[in-house]
Amino acid sequence: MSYKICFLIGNKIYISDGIRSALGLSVENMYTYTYIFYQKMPTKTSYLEDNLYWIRDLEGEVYAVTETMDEEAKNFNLEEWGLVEATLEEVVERIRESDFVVGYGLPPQTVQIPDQCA
Amino acid sequence: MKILCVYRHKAVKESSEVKKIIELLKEKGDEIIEFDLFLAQSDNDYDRLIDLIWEADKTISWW
Amino acid sequence: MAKDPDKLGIFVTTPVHMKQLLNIVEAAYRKGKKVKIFLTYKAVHLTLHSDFIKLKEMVPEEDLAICLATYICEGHDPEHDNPANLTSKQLRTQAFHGEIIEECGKYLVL
Repeated sequence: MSYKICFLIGNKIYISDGIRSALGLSVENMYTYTYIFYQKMPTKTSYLEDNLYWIRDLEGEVYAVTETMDEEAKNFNLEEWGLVEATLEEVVERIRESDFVVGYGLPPQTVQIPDQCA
Repeated sequence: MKILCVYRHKAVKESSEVKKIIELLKEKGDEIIEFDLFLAQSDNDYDRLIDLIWEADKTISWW
Repeated sequence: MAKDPDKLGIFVTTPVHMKQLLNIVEAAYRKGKKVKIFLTYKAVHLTLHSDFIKLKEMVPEEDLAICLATYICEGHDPEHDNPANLTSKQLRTQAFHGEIIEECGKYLVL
């Protein structure tokens, strides 16, 4: 069955792997919709770009919940990554229509991510 | 729809974004049941969680 | 695969809920339910937790697995660094998460 799966990601460290995990379900013929809260996406890599491409090719999407982001994160996510903008109302609609909701990873961090994390 | 919200961390339960999502779900007519996993200690707490998971149509486990 | 209404799928994404995971599995068993568990990304570190062996002893081999790719990405060597003696059937891909969704009537993320 083609389930609809809604991924919610709030912690920067978990973004890349959350998207990979969503792709893992997309290739199992499920529809995945991933919502990034608060955070600026990681620096572009061909690996992550490819994962996003394949999710879209399999009729899924990755969204930026921009009202939870500062201007820098919002602009980077929309302009550099081409994420689709989403409101909290749209997240709620997706939660309601999805068969499963995946609150992926740890809570958002309140500190600046140090360069060492790269 | 009966939706179980499991909170793994207190700060997430108290965040304005999660609170707004819960309010919007309620406005849509969904029944929200909440479980504070960060407070769970006893077997009774965990037995109740299992009962709630089976009672709910959908479970959201928040970060 | 048909859904099992009495089976709880648990998708573990974080390395901080060992106690809760064990308690949830024990409670599910007390209630006559079954579980199927997949640990991914940072959660694979739980395999090194002293309580992980309890989990492994409680859950049938086919219902407990970790993501092999992230185990390696997190710096572990599955050949020489596998203290819980997970079998090859338990070192899996994200497809195991797909199996959980297809197979389990109920679902929880940690």
